Amino acid sequence: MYYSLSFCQNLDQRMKYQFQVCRSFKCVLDRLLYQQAILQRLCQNAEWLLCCRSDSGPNTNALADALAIAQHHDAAEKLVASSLAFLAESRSSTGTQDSSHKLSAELNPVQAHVSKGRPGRCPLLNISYCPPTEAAFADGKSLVVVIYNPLGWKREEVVRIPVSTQKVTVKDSGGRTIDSQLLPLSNATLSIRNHYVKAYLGKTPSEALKYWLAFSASVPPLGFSTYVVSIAKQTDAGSTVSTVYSSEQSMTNNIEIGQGNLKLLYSADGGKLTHYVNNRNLVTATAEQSYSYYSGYSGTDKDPQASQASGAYVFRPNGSSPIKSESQVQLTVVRGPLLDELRQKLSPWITQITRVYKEKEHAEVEFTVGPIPIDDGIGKEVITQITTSMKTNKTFYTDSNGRDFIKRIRDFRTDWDLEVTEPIAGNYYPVNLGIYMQDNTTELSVLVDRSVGGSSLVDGQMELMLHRRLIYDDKRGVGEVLNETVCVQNECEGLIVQGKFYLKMDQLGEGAKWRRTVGQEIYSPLLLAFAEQDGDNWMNSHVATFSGIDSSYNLPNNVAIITLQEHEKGKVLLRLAHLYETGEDKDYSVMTSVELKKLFPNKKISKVTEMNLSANQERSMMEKRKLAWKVQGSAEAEMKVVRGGPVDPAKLVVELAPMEIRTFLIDFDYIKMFGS
Amino acid sequence: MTRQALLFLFYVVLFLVSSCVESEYKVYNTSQGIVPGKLNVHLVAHTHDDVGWLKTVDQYYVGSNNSIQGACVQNILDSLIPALLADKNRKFIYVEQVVKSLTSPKKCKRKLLAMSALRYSGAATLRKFLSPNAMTVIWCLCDISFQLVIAFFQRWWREQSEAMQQVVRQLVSSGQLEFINGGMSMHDEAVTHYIDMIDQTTLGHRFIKNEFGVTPRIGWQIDPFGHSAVQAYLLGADVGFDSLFFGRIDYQDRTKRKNEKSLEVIWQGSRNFRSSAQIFAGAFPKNYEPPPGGFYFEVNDDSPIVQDDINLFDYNVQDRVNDFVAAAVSQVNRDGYLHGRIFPAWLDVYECNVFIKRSFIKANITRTNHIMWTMGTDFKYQYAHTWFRQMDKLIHYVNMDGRVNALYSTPSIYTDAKYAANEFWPLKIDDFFPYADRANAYWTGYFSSRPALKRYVRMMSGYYLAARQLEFFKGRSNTGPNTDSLADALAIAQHHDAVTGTEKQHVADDYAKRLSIGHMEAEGVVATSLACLADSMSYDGCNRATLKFQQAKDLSS
Repeated sequence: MYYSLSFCQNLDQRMKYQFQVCRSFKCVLDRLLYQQAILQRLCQNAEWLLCCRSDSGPNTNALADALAIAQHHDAAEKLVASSLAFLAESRSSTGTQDSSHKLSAELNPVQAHVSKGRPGRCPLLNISYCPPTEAAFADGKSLVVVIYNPLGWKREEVVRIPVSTQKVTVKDSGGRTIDSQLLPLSNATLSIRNHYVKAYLGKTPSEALKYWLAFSASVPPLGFSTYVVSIAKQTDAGSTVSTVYSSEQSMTNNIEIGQGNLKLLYSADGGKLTHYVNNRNLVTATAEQSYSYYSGYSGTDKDPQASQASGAYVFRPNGSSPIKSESQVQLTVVRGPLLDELRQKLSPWITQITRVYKEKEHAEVEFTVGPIPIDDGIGKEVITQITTSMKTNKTFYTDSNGRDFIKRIRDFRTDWDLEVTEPIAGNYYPVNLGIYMQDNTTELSVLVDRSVGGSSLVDGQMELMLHRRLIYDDKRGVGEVLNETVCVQNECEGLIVQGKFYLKMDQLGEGAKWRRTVGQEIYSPLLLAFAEQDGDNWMNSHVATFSGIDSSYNLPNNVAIITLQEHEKGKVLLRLAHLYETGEDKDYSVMTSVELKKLFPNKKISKVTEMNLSANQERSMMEKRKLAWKVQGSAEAEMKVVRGGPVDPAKLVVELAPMEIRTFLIDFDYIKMFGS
Repeated sequence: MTRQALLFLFYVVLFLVSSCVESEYKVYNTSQGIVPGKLNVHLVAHTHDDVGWLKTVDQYYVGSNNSIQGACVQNILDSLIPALLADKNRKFIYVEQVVKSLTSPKKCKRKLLAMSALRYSGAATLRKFLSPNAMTVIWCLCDISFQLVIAFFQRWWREQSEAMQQVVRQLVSSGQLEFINGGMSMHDEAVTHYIDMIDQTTLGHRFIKNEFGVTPRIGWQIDPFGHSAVQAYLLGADVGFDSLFFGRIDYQDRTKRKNEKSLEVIWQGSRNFRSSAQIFAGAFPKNYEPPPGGFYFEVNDDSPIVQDDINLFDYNVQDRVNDFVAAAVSQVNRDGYLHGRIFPAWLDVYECNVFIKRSFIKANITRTNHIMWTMGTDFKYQYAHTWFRQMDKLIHYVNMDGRVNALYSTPSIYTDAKYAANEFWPLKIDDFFPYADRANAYWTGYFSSRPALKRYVRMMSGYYLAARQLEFFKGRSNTGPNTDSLADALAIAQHHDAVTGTEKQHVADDYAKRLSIGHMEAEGVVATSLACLADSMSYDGCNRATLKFQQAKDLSS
């Protein structure tokens, strides 16, 4: 049964009958209708939960849930206590099962990220565990995917969800079938899924997961789009199942990955990356990528004063060893209309998947490292190296807290003559956004999904440290060995770490575009929410696409909203950041502007106050009381510093100079805000 | 006979007691300010309270799990207020604002009982310095200390009585208690993202602004393992800080800077903004502890206290004054040079004093006649009186001696003094990475330690940004669910022993658990908002729902 919108709008009117003694047939009817409408309303919300299907009613469910949790919680607590796990969010989610259940019992609508009502949420997507999407298609139901984009520009990206069936089709909000691709799960992925689901939830996943379903989503700025995944009918064009070649079938030719501008070439025998080719910007290079490890120093120096082990703080390698597979590298090539994948098992404890999306010009490398073996009595610090023939003259660049890039020169410090005691550890720098190097013609950039250490120890080569497992304390107070483990039924093994880095080569001077704009997309990934629908009514009854800003507007690619936060009713903290440095890019390292009126459509801005960065004083006041220190040798003429001008209260346009961050408190006119 | 002996004994005891009482009452002159022309030793009383490291943030606050580390932040804050009230010249800085918490606060009760007993006896000795009003406050504090609270300053604050809050406000507005840095935690500078640094600083500053109406002036990053350009120009200059102090720079760099008097610099961290985003930055000569020479005054520390009762044994005022002057001189001359002449270690204190008396001491290691002593270290001032009592005496007697000038100070006063000297300062650009505290000890492992926690923090960072947007579209609920608990969890996760991966395993688990709980609640917000936006057939839908609620409220009133 479905009620028309007009009925819902009349709810208020009908509501009054609830509080009367009914004497007429109309009254009784209206009350009935009202009650049913309330139920319907609840169920509309509850659809998001995928939980309302149960016939036994919410009370029984809640009780069952509570019991299940009571049993569960001990186990979860134990897990939390034992170690921080691989992709920690999954671990911790188990520690708080109870709270998530409370929410579902209250019929809190929608699960963000990924959801399923009954067993709580679904934060284990990263280990390919997502019962709602896997089981969503029972009884002819479909899965609704709402995709939110927190950035100020429109995005086209491939999103992936795990499914257990092959015959699916993906439709956009207009009901059009869009290209989608099914990628079979690798054995490595499945075994991690099984192991870690057991570690976190204390059970083995029952659903036979078969595929990652990939489709290309287009999402408006600060808004969402909706896609519906359903069982393909005879007439529908179903999702394309990827073609798969594996090394068991003999591969005689070199392997080529990528069907768009970017192609990666691998040797047929060892499956090693050999060439990087971009047909659009005509960058071609020989490039290799490999793994090795440093052996952690034991700290048994002859001079006890100088004794120093590698530990949680200190990196002190004692030689390095390349990681090579004893036998031939197992590799699998997966191809389809949206992306190609190359899956490699590089050692018993390192696998990686390299993805090249048809519409993107960078390679995405997903590594899975661990458990790092230490039974030989040696702690290990695992790195990946990207090697080219670039002449980089000891120079590379790393970011400062994900913001400014700083030039680094091997074995050199600007401020003093460096006495080199640790040629490896002493050249490591923090990498939060990325690391790059350049020569006369080309630049090679790597972006990361978390903070790591990185360096360039050899010209043309860069490395990132991905994982560490050590057996000595480095004596800086923590008093514990950095040896993270995960336990299943008292069987503990070293933590497996999975993550991604992204790689791109550009003509000299063109790399910043990707580092900055795509870097922001990596920081702010698309957010997925799931719901379930019967039949086709979702799109008719819901807003399918939404943008929080003016529909004709989007922010330029060099600006991000880094804070949009409601302090109290009608008062908002807004922070805008220019993403480029001066001289970094010919198109984007320029003064840019943001129109506040279009950022807040349907709202009347009554006041805009520019604040200092931490928003505890007006910027003008801060500037006024700034101390004017005298600097030695500052006589040389300084380049003129550029900053955006004051905001005109009528025009309400914010200017941003390169690297500028501006913070505003915005007051909205309350009546207008809610006026129709 | 027996009776006479008893009477004699009685008189002896009476004499001793009365003479004891006579010599007990001393007023120490602690009012000394800066004296031009002398070497001014700025005593900066501080405590460095990690929001999690060997113990979790809650364990540190309530003082549980003390077999790992004896540390209870609550004691520090509780004992600090009466210690400051006892003398208006005493000053203190507090850094970590932090944080809500999860665990039951009952664990610390017994310890607190013991501590408050100690406080009662301490209060008795303080009575003579106190006005009757201040006394009341102390007793009042003792009473309310049983209402246990669960965080560092912020949490402590929220649980204080109206009267106590008023007292603390007074201390803040008089400058006796100063908030510096003012973020929720002292964030790391290597493995933190600038958006997280801004968020956690904003959160702390907002609390301080709302409660006290003040804006912190000083950056105080004394423990992080190396220092970033973004900290200097963005989280320093752009926040409005007048200076930034820190303890850890490369040992080779430090040696050179000490020789060249360039520990204190003007740091222009941004190549884009240069002098328009510069900040006065000072690296400490050694670390953030008191100088060598026995100046640790925690209850059970073994530094010699100043024994100034001439009627008792072990009177040591002159020795301690000499120690103080020698320590000041050695900070002036850490590398053994005084006015270009070799100043060997074996030179005894007397010769040294003569030497010093002949030539006025000038700060050689840092420019101008001002040096800072960081009086405190990790989790010190658990019974604040012990420190202040000794510093009172040192200031009193050192200034009577007159070779150097000692004063209660704060980094703000110190910065103003440096600024007033109108000196030229060396320029520093870029950053202070990597950090080595000696040969073969590069702190570059923590860039990658605990990669799963680092990823979790980054994921939550992006999620928090998105969740606040959706929270805004829907309309924020102050009573929750909202994004506040995720904000808190993320703020402490930026701590320099959190996202760095340099904490114990159980503490890492605690950070992850907090993030998870915050995440859960934020998921609720995101879910409700998306549902609301998708359910309504126009953009105004969510607001209309709010409007309805508002109207209903208006009608009823």
